[in-house]
Parts: sequence; structure tokens; C-alpha cells
Amino acid sequence: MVLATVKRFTTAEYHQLTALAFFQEDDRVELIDGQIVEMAAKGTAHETCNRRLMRELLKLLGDRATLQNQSPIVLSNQSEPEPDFAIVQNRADDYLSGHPTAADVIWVIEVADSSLGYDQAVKLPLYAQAGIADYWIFNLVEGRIETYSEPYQTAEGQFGYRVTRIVLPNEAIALPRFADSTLDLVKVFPPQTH
Amino acid sequence: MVLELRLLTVQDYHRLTEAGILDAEERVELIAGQIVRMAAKETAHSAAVTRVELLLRNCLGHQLLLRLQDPIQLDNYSEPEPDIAVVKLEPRYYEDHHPKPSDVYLVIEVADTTLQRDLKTKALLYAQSGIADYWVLNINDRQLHVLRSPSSSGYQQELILAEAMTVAPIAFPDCAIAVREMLSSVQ
Repeated sequence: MVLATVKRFTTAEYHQLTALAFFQEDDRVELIDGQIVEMAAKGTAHETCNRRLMRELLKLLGDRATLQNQSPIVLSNQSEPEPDFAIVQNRADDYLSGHPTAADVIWVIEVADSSLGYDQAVKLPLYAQAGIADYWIFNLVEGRIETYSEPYQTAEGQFGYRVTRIVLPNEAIALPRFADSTLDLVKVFPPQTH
Repeated sequence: MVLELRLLTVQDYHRLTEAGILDAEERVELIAGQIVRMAAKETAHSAAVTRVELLLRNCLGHQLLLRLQDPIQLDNYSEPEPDIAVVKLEPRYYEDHHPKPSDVYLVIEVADTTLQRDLKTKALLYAQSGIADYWVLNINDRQLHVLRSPSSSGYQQELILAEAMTVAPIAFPDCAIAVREMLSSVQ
């Protein structure tokens, strides 16, 4: 179907749907370019990586930033993804008045198992377009971390990141903006099962 | 990359309209769980619908209902609004529910800018829901596509009729209509 003809929802309409109890408890959805997309089911490797990242990031960040886990960030009037992790500026009301916008986001992390293609092909250009300076993918499929930085836009309106680095699961990586803190990936990455 | 879309059911779709999220003015239909905008009504399109409506009324009389751009509910995820649907009489005029595939004799879409959508996406949808007779009037090329023998993989039979030919609905074989009469008179 030609996508140009599909109705795109705005974030305002999407919030109305949530207020109308449109989505069930177990409906894990996010709004991407006006379309309501189902998120991948939670596998154990994904969840273990999440738990460890949560523990390590909270220790490293302390009070310097706010860590949110699978919570919404509003990127445009048609996109409201729920990344595995978003490290956002501290706010006195802790975003009670509205979800963080792209300007509030320091960096985003996705843990990718079955969602790897989606995190690389759909979410990457979305985050680049929103100007999110740093984006990490914990690639559980290939057992490595991909870090993306320096978003760019082409003349044709394509978005991406200029710089990609591969970091191996036994290495350490400095946090964006808080370069004095390093994340020891051995503490986070689930042992390879193969 | 194909997204795992959260498909909308017909119930979801109706709730969206009731909640005012879908404007009553927005010309949309529900196709396979997605809300799709319909093309704007150009004059050539409207004129063709009028011509076909009159031709059908003339030969079919009052033994059925002719619905123009009104919903038919194909299944739980699709509620298109075909240009013309020839449907069974119903004592309450479908007050309680839109016509279902078993109520439908014939669907006709008039294709101006939407030919590919009508011949591919919509044809598959109508075939999968068992609509036995589906016509697409290609007003730009002055031809009528007649699609029959529905199956889960689409219509098994497609005839393309030039304007000199005639066609009759499967359900009403005595109602012969010249394709030329459905089209605008050539200037």
C-alpha cells in the first residue's frame, strides 16, 4: 500500500488513544512517523542486558542525569518512541508536565535482539533526524555494541550518523557527555550463548 | 523494512470516529487494519459514478439496494467505502450493521488516480472476503476490468473490456450494460 495515503497519527491523537484506553496492558506500542508500531516481545537476553545496564548506568550517572527505561520521548509531532534507555536532562518536575523531547535527550540506547533490523533501519534515521547526538545499540545478535554519533542530513532528506564505532563486549566505553565515567561492558553484556 | 504495525480493528476504527480523532470530514476507509485516505472527488470520477448508478438503477429496479461510497464491512480489519456496492435488500436498510460480503452482489470502483490500488490492494481484499463480482472502471484508458472467481490469493479471472463491449452482473445476467455508456462521451 502506498504509504502516502495512510493516515498518520499525531502525538496528540496518540495520547488521546491512550487516554481512551485504546491499548491493552500488554499492547507494547510506540508511535513512529505517525504509525502505531508493535514493539518486539521481551526475550530473556534482552531483559538481562536491560537489568544490568540499569544497575551500571545508575551507579555511573548518579544525580548528574535522569535515566529512563522503555519510557516515551517525543521526537516530533508524529514520533514518540520508547527506547530501552534514554538518558535525559534532570528536570525539577521529572517530566510530569510532558515527556522529554529530543532537546532534553543526552543519549539513547537500544538493546537489540529480534529488533536489530528495526533499531538499525527505522530507529537510527529517526534519532538522527531528531538530532540525538549519540545513539548506542547493544547488538545481542552479533555480540557487540555499535555507537553512532554526529547526525547528518543529505540533500535528499535522508538521515544517518557519520561516525560508527564497534565496541567489543569485553571492552569499556566512556559515557557521552560524562567522559570521566566508563561503562565496563563485561558487567553488562550477557555471556554469548553460542 | 516492514514495520510490525499495530493493526486497527473495525471496533477501534469506529471508536476513533466517535472520539473525534477521525474527523467526520476526513475521507478515510479502513483497509487491512490501516486507515487510508481516499482520493479527492474529481469531477470525472463523480460523473462516472453517476452514470454507472443510473445505468444500474434502470435495469435493476428495486430488487436490491445501490449504495454509493458507503461502508461495507469485509472482516474485522477492513471497512472500505466502494464507489458503488450493489447489495441485498434489508428491511432496516442496514441500520444496525454495514453490509457484509454475503450481502454484496457486486462492487464497482471508478479508478481515476487510484487504478493500481483498486486493481491490486483492493482486489485482493475483496477477493479474500469472497465478493464474487468486482469491477474497476478505468476512466482514463476507457476500459472496464471485470474480476471474478475470488480466492484467498486474489481473483482467478480478470477480463478487460473495451468500450464496445457489454457486461452483466453475475447475479443479474439480464442486466446488460455497454461499457461505453459508463464512460464519458468522447469529445
